[in-house]
Amino acid sequence: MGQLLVNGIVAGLLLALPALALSLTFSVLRFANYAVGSYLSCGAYLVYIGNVVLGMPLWLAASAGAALFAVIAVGIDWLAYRPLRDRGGVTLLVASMGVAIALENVIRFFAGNLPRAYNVPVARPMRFGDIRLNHEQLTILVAVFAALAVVWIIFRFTRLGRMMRAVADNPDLAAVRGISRSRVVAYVWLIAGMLTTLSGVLVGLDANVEPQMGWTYLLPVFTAAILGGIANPMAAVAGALTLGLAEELATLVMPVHYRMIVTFLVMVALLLVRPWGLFGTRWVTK
Amino acid sequence: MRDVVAGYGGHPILHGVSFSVRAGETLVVVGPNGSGKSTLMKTAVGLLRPISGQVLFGEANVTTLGAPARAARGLANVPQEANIFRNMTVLENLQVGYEFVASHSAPSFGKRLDAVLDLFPEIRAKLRSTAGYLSGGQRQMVAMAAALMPEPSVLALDEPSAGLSPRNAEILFEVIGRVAASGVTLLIVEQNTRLGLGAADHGVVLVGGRIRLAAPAAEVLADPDIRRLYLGGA
Amino acid sequence: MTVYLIATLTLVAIAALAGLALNLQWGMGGLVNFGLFGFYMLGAYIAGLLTVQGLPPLVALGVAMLGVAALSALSALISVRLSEDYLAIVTLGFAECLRLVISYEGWLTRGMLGVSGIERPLQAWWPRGWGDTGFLLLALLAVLIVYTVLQALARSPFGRLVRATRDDPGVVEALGKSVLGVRVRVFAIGGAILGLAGSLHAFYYSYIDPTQFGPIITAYAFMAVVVGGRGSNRGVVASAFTLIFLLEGSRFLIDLVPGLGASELAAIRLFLVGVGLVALLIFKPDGFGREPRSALADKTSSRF
Ligand SMILES: Nc1ncnc2c1ncn2[C@@H]1O[C@H](COP(=O)(O)OP(=O)(O)OP(=O)(O)O)[C@@H](O)[C@H]1O
Ligand SMILES: [Mg+2]
Repeated sequence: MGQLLVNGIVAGLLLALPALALSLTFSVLRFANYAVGSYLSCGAYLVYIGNVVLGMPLWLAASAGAALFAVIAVGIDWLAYRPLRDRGGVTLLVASMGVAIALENVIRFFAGNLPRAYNVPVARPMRFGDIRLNHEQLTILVAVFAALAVVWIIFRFTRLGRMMRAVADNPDLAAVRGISRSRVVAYVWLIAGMLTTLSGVLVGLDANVEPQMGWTYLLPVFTAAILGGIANPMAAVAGALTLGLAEELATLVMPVHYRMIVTFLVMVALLLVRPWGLFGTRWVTK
Repeated sequence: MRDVVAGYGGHPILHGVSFSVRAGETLVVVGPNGSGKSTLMKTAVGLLRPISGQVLFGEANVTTLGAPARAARGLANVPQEANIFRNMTVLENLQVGYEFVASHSAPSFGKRLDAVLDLFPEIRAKLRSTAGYLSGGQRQMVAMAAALMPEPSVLALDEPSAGLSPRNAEILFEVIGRVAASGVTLLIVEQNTRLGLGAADHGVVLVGGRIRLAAPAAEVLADPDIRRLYLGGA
Repeated sequence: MTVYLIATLTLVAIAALAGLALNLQWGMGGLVNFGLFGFYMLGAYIAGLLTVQGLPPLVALGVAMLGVAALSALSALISVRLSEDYLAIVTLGFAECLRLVISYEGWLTRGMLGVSGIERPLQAWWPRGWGDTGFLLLALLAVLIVYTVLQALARSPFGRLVRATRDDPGVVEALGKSVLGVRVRVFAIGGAILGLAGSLHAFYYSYIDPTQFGPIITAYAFMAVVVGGRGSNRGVVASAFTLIFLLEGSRFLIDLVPGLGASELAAIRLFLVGVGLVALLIFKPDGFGREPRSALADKTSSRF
């Protein structure tokens, strides 16, 4: 049981960063970036290049990859999403499907379909009583908490955070208060790019680096964000933890390969009962 | 504003509106619901790009500038609805009002906060509350306070008294009077014709997206048509 | 060469059906169906499994259409109260779950082994060696029928109601019509067409397994609709028979381009689909076709 909880928390933490990224971009841009899964894969592969091809230590490769992909995310926005900004959420959603397909196939073209692994030292799992925690899980725990803490501090206490929250809350009012939307949008993509890259690395550590990795996370990430009340970034983290635990506990009664079905049932139940999210307030989703 | 035609989706709501406010004076725009008052306000503050015509700010043509750029030139705005950041605290609302506009030479945040809270003592106790949970009257005050934070030279208010009790509306206009006395130029859209025009130097009557009458406020108030139409025949 | 041509044309006809279904749901109705491939897969499996059980293929096809229509309606019911973003993700989740169930419930679906020996409808009609051509004719006939039905539907009062729900649900609600009802029906009709497309897929290959079905089917359908112009059935069919024809045809370029394996070529093709989708949305938002409504609108306005 204790082991299940640990696994559930780790699973939830893996979802937390991309869910945060998704809901951050949604809150400011009002469109659901379907390509978030491909962002995760792309980030993971960029870091793979640094780590395995160029031989950097993983932390360095991850930092460099996050910085690089953050810029790429802004670039994608410029090329693909910005020209469509005034055309409504649905058009952007379809465009993001195009972006997702394009990115995924860039990966397939250069890296092929075979799973790969990061170059990290192998270590024996640690034991606390009868609970096992391997090094990858520990890395995930520390990295996600650190990233969440940084984002939270930016959000709550900095000028940049107030800028983003103001635009998310009321774009017109933010404009008359002197906040330039396009700058906020760029910052948001930078942050989302870094978060998805980091989560890609962690997913790659936990399992493998493969072109499909983002796709398998897509549905859970969306569900976690919806659980949090899609436009409420910090609540998306709570949504991710809830979902991670639910998925893990469901393995008691369902085969493991049906995780996705648990996710889907959670989403459906939520949409029928509390569409504004477990943790959201009604006005947030309007 | 010169010959402004503006609207939504290429469909004009304002049909060639021209007026001006002299520095330090107060202009009140009145008119029936749906006559385009808010549209005029959005065009003035830069949320809506006019289809044709010009918006001038002092000598400068600001027609192509967006709202943030106009805010940086000292134009502050309180929109008609959704005029606060609901998920932020009152203090954060005031901070956001200040930090993206105030120039380096402006008084410090603390100084401005004190000055603004002196105008609205009621919200001093509420600084840490989430703005969305305040009462209508308090929200209106927070909105005004946030707009005043950076010491704007022009303040544009869209229906400041909407939804307020008569008592609160009077308090608010008292504050507006004080702001005007401190030399700020005011552009106000107001449903409450008597209260609005009472505080104004000049009045403009907007009907169906066209200016029906533009005159000193007292004259507008005295105009028999206006009295009949908007003052309930009094 | 003719063999390639017939094969490609058959696939194009099936893709055109999927495109027409999406054009009804998204183009006319504004309902984004990201799980399109799931409904298509369901159609293929219902038709395939029933046929190998000995049911006449045409009956199996009918059951598949009804079954997919019913499940489409259900998935629409979950989320139609919400905005389109939610519908997109719900349909996607539905499709993914369906793929999982089909992959793992081997007792019902034969799992990853796949279903083989699916018999085609009306095979006995064609002379020996003309089976593929006959099937192509059948697929083209299906496209023609669906096209005609959808054209009629687009011009009918119901079609107008569907477009009104897309453009302004508030107004429709104010007129006392049920937006929910319209959307569920649109999704169901689209689902029936997807069931048809999936069935034809199963019949054509005579073998199906879960790996044949993926989001790429969805992407092709979106491509067809975006190129054809949202709402224009004619445009969708035209774009399927040009663009998808080219894309599918490029499979056979393999022999011509040295140094590129099948998977690299597939990656390039799909990359172009993705980029093309975005570029079209940006530069040619109305596609190359026209919604039948415009013809209708011209007529009504000239009456006065
Ligand atoms: N965002 C919008 N998109 C399309 N039309 C709009 C929009 N906002 C307002 N309108 C239309 O513009 C016209 C004028 O609206 P406006 O809000 O300027 O009126 P108003 O004079 O401020 O009214 P009120 O006294 O009710 O505030 C109305 O017919 C309204 O329907
Ligand atoms: Mg108004």
